[in-house]
Amino acid sequence: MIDRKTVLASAALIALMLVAAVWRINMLDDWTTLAVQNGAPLPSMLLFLFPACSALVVGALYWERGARADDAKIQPWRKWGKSLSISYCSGLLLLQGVLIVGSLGLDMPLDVSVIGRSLGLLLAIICLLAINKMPKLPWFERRFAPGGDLGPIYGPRYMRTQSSILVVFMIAVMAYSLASPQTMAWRSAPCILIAAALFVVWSMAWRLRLGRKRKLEQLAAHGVET
Amino acid sequence: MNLVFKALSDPTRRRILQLLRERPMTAGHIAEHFDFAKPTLSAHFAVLREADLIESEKIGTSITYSLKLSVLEDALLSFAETVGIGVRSSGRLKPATRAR
Repeated sequence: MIDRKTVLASAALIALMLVAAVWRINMLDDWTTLAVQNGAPLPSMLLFLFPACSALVVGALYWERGARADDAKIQPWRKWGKSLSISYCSGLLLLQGVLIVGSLGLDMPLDVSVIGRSLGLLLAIICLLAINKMPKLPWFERRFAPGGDLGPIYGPRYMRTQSSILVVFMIAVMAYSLASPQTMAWRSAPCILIAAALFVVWSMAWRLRLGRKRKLEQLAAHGVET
Repeated sequence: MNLVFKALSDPTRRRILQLLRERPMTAGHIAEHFDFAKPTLSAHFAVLREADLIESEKIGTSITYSLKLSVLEDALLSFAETVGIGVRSSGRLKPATRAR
């Protein structure tokens, strides 16, 4: 879904995140703990979460590059994927930077956690806007298509529902993160991960169901014809 | 965004979008659900296309329309449908409702 140029740019940002994480952990007295300004100590491995998340998104977008669709359908997706991957990686790089700067113990006039929160919110809004736009893009069959081809009827319907649920989920996460106290915000991470995993399972099951439904309809139509 | 609000404020156009929610349809199939003259429907299609809510594809001699709604636009459509925006001011919904 994204071209090689975008992948290279994103990979450069991910490499920068990895270098920054390794550099910061090397500098720590106790390499397991990262003490952030005005906050509870965090596990230092958290620094690797940023490049990991970026790599996951960029990898997923790049994996679809060989999708079975004509160029006219792929082109809007390439544009969408390019802006999403670059802004996502840049946003996470900035967030990681804020975390590192906050852990250096520098005397700063601004509260680092407030900057981090604002950046996180901005990143979430960018992702939200990207997901909001997804159903507007032309449907094409993915390389990984459990349940077979969904076709022009069930495919867009599947994408619309999936995007709607993702938008609601993201709004809920944003609302929770904004409403909870700063020290509590990290505690929602396991719940978010569990919800994301459940979403993937549901999405797969629903796709299988729609695929089966389409096959049955095709068989019925074929039966009527013969 | 103004174009989107304008497009969604009319019950007939909302009905067209509801029909396209089910599946992509040709102009002829959509017209079967309404008692309007074809130029009137074409004008509605033009407004929807201008607002980027539908897209058309010419296959042979017929034009197939399909939905092109973002999540927010979809939510706005549901909201306008629930509230019934423009229903009182427009007496033209009757044919579409009867066809339902």
